[in-house]
Amino acid sequence: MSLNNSDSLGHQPDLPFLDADDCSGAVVLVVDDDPTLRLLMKEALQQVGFQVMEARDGQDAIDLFQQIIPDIILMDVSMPVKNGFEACEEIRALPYGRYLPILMMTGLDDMNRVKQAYKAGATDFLVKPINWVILGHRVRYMLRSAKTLEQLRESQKNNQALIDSLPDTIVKVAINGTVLDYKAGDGGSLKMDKKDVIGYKLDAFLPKTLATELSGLVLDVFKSGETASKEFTIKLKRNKYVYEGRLIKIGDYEVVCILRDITERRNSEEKIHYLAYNDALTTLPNRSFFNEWVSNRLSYLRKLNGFLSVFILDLDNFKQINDTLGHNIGDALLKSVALRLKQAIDTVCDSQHGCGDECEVLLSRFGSDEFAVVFVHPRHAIPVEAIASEMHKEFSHSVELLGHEIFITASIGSASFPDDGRDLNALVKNADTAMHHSKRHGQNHFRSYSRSMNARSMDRLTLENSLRKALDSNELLLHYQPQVNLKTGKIVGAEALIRWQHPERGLISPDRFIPIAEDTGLINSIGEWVLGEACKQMKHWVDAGYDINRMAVNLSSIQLRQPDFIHRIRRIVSSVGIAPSYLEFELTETTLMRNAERSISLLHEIRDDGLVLSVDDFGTGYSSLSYLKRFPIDALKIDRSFVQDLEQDSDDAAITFAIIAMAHNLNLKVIAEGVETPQQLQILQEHECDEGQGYLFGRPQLPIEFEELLKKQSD
Amino acid sequence: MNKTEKGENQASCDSLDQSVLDGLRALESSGSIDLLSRVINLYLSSSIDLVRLLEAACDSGECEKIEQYAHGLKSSCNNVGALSLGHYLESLEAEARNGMIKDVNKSLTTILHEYDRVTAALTQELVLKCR
Repeated sequence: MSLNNSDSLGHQPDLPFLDADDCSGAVVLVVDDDPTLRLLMKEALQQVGFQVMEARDGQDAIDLFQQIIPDIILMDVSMPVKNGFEACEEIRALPYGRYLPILMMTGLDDMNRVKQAYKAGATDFLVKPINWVILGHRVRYMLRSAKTLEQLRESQKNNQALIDSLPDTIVKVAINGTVLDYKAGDGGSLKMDKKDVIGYKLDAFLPKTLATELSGLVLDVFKSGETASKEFTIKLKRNKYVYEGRLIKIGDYEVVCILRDITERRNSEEKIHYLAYNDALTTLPNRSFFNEWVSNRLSYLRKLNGFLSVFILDLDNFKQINDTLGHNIGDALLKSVALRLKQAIDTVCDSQHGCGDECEVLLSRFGSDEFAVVFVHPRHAIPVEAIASEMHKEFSHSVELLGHEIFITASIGSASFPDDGRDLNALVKNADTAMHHSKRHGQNHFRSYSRSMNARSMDRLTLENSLRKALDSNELLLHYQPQVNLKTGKIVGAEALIRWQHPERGLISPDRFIPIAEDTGLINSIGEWVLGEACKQMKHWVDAGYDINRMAVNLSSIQLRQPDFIHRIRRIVSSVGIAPSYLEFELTETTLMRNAERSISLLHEIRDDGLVLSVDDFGTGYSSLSYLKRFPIDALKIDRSFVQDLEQDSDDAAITFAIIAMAHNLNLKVIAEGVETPQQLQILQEHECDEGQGYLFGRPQLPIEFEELLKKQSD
Repeated sequence: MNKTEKGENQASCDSLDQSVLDGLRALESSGSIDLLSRVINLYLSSSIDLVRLLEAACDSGECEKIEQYAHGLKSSCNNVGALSLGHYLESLEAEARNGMIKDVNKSLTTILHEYDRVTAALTQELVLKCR
């Protein structure tokens, strides 16, 4: 037998996955009372690069441990002074001892000792007799796994620190709904002791509604495997909490619920929402809210064939109160109006007009002194008249505000779905139109929208406002168009034509603003201004010696209706100091025919003063020839539409010739309007038309340009 | 190898487990010079004290001490392959732990006899190694 023949065992097993540098230099503490074992251990471990320290018993081991802090301990169990179990337990309690790998050495036959070893905190055990060749590798594996565990602990610690720093409440739930782990979040409402939570079902510690919802969601997540998120609102002790929950399935058997208290965020969102959707002064919903609310209701009312009415209420003369009594009073007044409208709505809802529970009402403030009220009913039309009357009742008495007795009225307009509009914009616009109509018909009125209210009335209203200012701010001006004697070709007169140079809109046609001026009564002051300006201009030209003998000015029927009209024009004419015979008033057929009897006597008076009268736009309106004979008129102006068609030898041409003939029979002069071509001129001349007006002779132009024409003529 | 040597070898085989010794030789050949000799010498020098202590303990009948010394000696014996001796010591240790030693004199005699065989066999190992 060769003693050196130990190749089969003497070769170290090749373990390539074990890095030689892995643990080299690591310190191993060998604890055994048997010196032969210590010697063998030392040799075996040194061979694979460990440093070995030796202790002969448990106490020795504890002392040495504290001096050198080894990387691993191999410890015998039965030793004098202090056995391995006791030593192991003590070391575990020492600094750095908690996670140190400790291997207990014991016989394979003694399972009790193995159990006891683990109980004492041993990491693992080594079976005696020890295989010396394998030992080094065994210890190295042990160290490596200890290192891995250490890293794991470190990363777990980091994770835990991370998790602990999260403001979220984290609950790990098993498939049966039992809580496996719990971390309290920052929100006070879900703060509980771990021991009251772990091992219990969700409903044992969460508010019932939340537990039910959460459990349902946990099941969903288990089934689907998909991450879910949901918002939960819970009420605890009269406080409302909002949680944002995210549920994530981890592995096959666990769901992690992350609950974040978003109560504060939600509160500030609600506040922002409130500020965005409410008027700060009256706390009423604002226009944005109104718009969303109405749009939302309309979308289902369309399907239901339901009803909705929008009331727009505008305070009369609020601006005046604000300006004279100050903003404090103004603001207080607006608040009182809000209250009064609420009162009116309550009264309506309580009364027989009330539409019962199915009725919905919204009161909002649009801004400044404008309020809107909406009534919605799924089945019945809204009794708008009754509601408006209820609102007006609230304005029938004065209120005392900051020591001032204030009486205010409101103009109300309404528009109803579906008749007056099918969408928000149409309804608001039409209710607004109706409100402006009621305002125009005096204060404290109500009008419900009707189609006759011109769609352009909004635009008209803004124009109306600017028109009121136009006179004062010198935006109005006069152009003059020459009237020419067709026989001599000479300018014999001028027609004064009004122009409005709007600062933003540019030149606005009289067709556009004269009807507004007539509707509002502004025509009277505008008309007087025109007359005055035209008189001054004429006087200037006459005084300058130009050969011109007539200034024509248009008159509106509204002006004629003024009881003191004649006095007004006399005053103007005399104040300028021009002979009335230089002036001609042009009136349309319609003006003449309207209230014809009264017109006749008035016109006589005018004519007696020496003024000339002519009928404008003749042929376009309704004329009664019998009346025409009775009017004290001097001339007819053939409307441009007839003149335009002269060259076509059409019916219109025939009418034109008939008018000329008839006028001459009645001893009336004839002026053709809108003469633009030499052909037209020639035809008119052939038919002995007296005078002409149109682009062929000159456009309406500025006084200075007109004067140039006069100058040329006199040269 | 002559006949005598072989006989002696067989005698040592009875008391020493060769596989344990082979394990020590393997460790020696992988880098521990004279390991086997050092272990045997250490055993021979350290075990004798324990044997004396065990003898004394048996004489006085102190179970606790019997258990302690038997255990210590057992561990050393197993390390050098004296498994039979280790086995006898283990039995005594177990009996002492239970406080019920059937026949302490008989056990001790068996142990001392086997110890002599072991030391003889180990000494022979040393001699063989030196050659």
